[in-house]
Parts: sequence; structure tokens; C-alpha cells
Amino acid sequence: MNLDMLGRVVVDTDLVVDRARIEQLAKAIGTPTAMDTALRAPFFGPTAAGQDSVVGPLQMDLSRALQGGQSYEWHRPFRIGETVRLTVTIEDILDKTTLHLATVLAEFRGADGELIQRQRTAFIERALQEART
Amino acid sequence: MTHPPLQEATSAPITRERVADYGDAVGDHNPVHFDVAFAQAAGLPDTVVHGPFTATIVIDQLIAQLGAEALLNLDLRLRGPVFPGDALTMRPAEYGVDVINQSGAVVATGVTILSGDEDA
Repeated sequence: MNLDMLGRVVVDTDLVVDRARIEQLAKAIGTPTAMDTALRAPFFGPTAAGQDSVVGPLQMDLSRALQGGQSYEWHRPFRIGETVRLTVTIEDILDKTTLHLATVLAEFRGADGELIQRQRTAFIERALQEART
Repeated sequence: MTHPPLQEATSAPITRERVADYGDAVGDHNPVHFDVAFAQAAGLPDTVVHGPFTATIVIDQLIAQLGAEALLNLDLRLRGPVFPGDALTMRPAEYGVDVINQSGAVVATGVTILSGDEDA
């Protein structure tokens, strides 16, 4: 894990809440409340943005990494067709010798800057020496 | 606002097809979720379900019981791997919910804040 990424913004972009992808997510959920859920558990979170935007800059080895937690703070659901601003920041990195821990913060804001949702994702990566034993 | 008490509820099994749908929807094609050989090389018995998909299933169970507007915060700790074929049971706990698999293993714990909690 690249410990120098602490505090760095790795994503800062506008995204459109696309109906087709929300419906695809709802299909995976597969329940009567799936659309409500899909509008609160968006497809473009930090893990979803994944390999290009978070895993890459953090230089995580996916064979040694796992997700330790996911938290959500909801202010309102996403609206299909709206454009939202997504900012992803490496909020915290801990070097525990045998483990590296990273917390990634994703904030989603509406066109007027209104906070829609915060997500925090915790990643755990076993250090290389530990992984070999 | 008051809510009905949470009830224990079990989701439908998480099929590989649903995992594939989720991966396509979110654009996460990490091989640990799809490639059994890759997962086994990493020391896992099988591919693992995306952590956010596990979280999404828990959110959906909460919304199904409480309504979408009731859910303000969820802090979910992933405590064990979830594999294709697993059916997750959400069990109410003092702090929120425990999530257990069909073998009784706790795979996640969630702390919830619901609308009205701040008035309690």
C-alpha cells in the first residue's frame, strides 16, 4: 500500500445518475424495495470506482487486500438523471507492521453543493512479509 | 418518528449471477469476485461477494422493514467472507443488526441510526 497517499483526493468528478445502471443494480438486489435501495447504495462508490481510482493509487495488492467495513451517512436519495459531484479522499492510513489499513471517504453532492451522501470504506491489506508466511 | 421493531429476516441466496449483475452495475470486476482460481490462489475457498453488495443487501432488508426515509446512518463492519450461495440473515441487535450466514457465522455487524433516534 502506498502510505504517501494519505490526504490525497483521488477522484473529483461529475457523474450522472444513470437510470440503466440503477436498474441494473436493482436487478442484482432483486427485491420489491430494490429501486429504493439502489438509489441509496450507489454504483459509483469508492470501491465501485475501484481498481482505477482507489486500488491503483493506493497500490493495493488485491490478493492480500479485503474490505473491512462500509459506512453510509444519508441525507437524501439520488435522483435519476441528476448530475452529482463525487469526491474521493484517502482519509486515513495506518501502518500496523503486519497490516495496512486505509479509510477512503466518498462525498456526493448535488448541483448546488448540497451533501447527498457520505460513504467511508475501510480496506485492510496484509503486509507482504506476513502474506508470505 | 417511531418505527416497527426490526424482525429477523433472511435474504434470497446470493447467486453468482447476482454477483455478476452487481459487478457489472458498479463496474467492479476485481477477479477475487469472479475468478475461482484467483480467489483460491489468495487462500480463499471460493470467490467472495463484494463487500458493498453485502452492505447493499443489509440496507435493502432495513428499507424493506423500516421504509427508505427511516435510515440515516449505517456503519457496517465486515467480519467474515460472504460466498456465492450464501443466504444472509439480518438479526436485530441492541446496537443495530448482526448479519449471519446459513451456518450461523456472523459475517457482519451493523450500527444503525434511524430517524427519531436522536430524540430518544
